[in-house]
Amino acid sequence: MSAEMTLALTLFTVGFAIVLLGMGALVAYYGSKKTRNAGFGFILIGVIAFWYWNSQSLAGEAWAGVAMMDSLLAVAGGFAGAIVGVIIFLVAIIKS
Amino acid sequence: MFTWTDPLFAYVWNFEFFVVAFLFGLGLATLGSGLFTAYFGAGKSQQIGFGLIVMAILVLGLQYHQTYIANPATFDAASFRYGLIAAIAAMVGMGAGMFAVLFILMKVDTVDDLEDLDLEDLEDLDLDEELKKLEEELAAADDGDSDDGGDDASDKDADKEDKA
Repeated sequence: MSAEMTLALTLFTVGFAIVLLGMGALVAYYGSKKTRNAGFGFILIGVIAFWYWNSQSLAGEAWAGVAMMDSLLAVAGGFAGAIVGVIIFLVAIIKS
Repeated sequence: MFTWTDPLFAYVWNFEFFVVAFLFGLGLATLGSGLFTAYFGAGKSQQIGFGLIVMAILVLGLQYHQTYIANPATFDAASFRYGLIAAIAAMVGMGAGMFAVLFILMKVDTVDDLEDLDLEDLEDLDLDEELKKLEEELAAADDGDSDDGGDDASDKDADKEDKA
């Protein structure tokens, strides 16, 4: 597998796990009965995705070569840039 | 140039990933909002839209120049490619996660959750009795007003009382 594909798969799994854990925690806390059970299911799927990422990268298997922290920096930078761009747009519109 | 060694964990952070992704995100966001405003806006708003498009072209063009054309290049082309792949892959992963959550939540029958609502108080209410009480209170309040003839009484009411 190419380095680009490995990086994409790694970050896809991390993003998927983070969203499932976060949304699962919210749904499990605020939901009731069936919705709460679905929230616990989301948390379980998120933990499984996180465990899979951990076993593939940190444990020294197929995804071990990915510079994980630097890649997370790139994700944070992309979000920060988009937020700053939207703020510039809003300031320009509001001030006009 | 963009590296920093963390003294706590002795990890060398490569902030070039952050900078290139930041600039690319900034350029894309201003380009998108600028195109939207230039197309749908009018007058001043349209001019702001054109300004945002120019800014986006400058940011993205500068980044492209400093990555692929300038010699020596400020940004590493490999870092740019990997940073872009990482950001896009993480966003696609987050989108897939949200889709999964919403899909399952819509498929799960959550009608039973309505049983948690305490409807016993509503069932015990006698609406006719409550309505009668309300009418009596309103009638009592009206009688009080007409007897007083106070400050709240209208001019017409005062004239009627004078004629009587």
